[in-house]
Amino acid sequence: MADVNRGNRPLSPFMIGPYYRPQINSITSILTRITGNGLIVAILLIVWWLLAAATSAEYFAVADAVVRSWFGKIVFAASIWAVWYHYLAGLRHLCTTAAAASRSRRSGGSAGA
Amino acid sequence: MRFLTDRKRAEGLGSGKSGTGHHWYMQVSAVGLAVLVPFFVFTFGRVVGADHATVVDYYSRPFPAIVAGLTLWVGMLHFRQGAQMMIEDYAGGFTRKALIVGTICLTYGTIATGLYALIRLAL
Repeated sequence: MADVNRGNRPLSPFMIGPYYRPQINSITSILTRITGNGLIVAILLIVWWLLAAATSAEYFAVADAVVRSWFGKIVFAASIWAVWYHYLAGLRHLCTTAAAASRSRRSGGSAGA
Repeated sequence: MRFLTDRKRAEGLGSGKSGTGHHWYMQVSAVGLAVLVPFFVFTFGRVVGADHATVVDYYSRPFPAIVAGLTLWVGMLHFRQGAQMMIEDYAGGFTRKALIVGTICLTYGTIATGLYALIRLAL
């Protein structure tokens, strides 16, 4: 196997910008990724807030102060937009996949055809 | 002298491997979250900002607690798969493996912490 590159495989290049002009499809796609992964910040904040509520009133006061602070307000304001953006993008994704699957069954061809 | 056939040389080098199962999991969890997320957003949104006694009282009730637990569980597993997809696009080699292992640890750590908190609030 000496002539086979088994370990150091190349990455796909980042296409938006250097190779493809930014378009509505690529921008909605990258925004879906950013919003989905970004939601982890709000989830961690919510889980910490729940843990604090379960622990004691004093600990809850600390977590609640962070949630009510400018930091918490920015996180929750951004996340409520992000969760609905990601939600609707996901529904659109499910619809296009279902449509591609039904097209594929009808024609007996590939989903992309 | 090359003893390998062209087919043998190419086997196992595709990008997908377990990609079909991964994609199917994302679809199934997306359908689950399509139901759970509105319930979670409106139950959590009702109580965030309230005082401690109200929050404890609210999450002692079955509906908000079960919705929060399920959303956290399914949402974090959906996150784990989605984050792995992103990592595999932008990182390679050891960095990729380390980031994926980190994501898995974060996922199960968050699920365990959240469920512990919810159970303790309910009891």
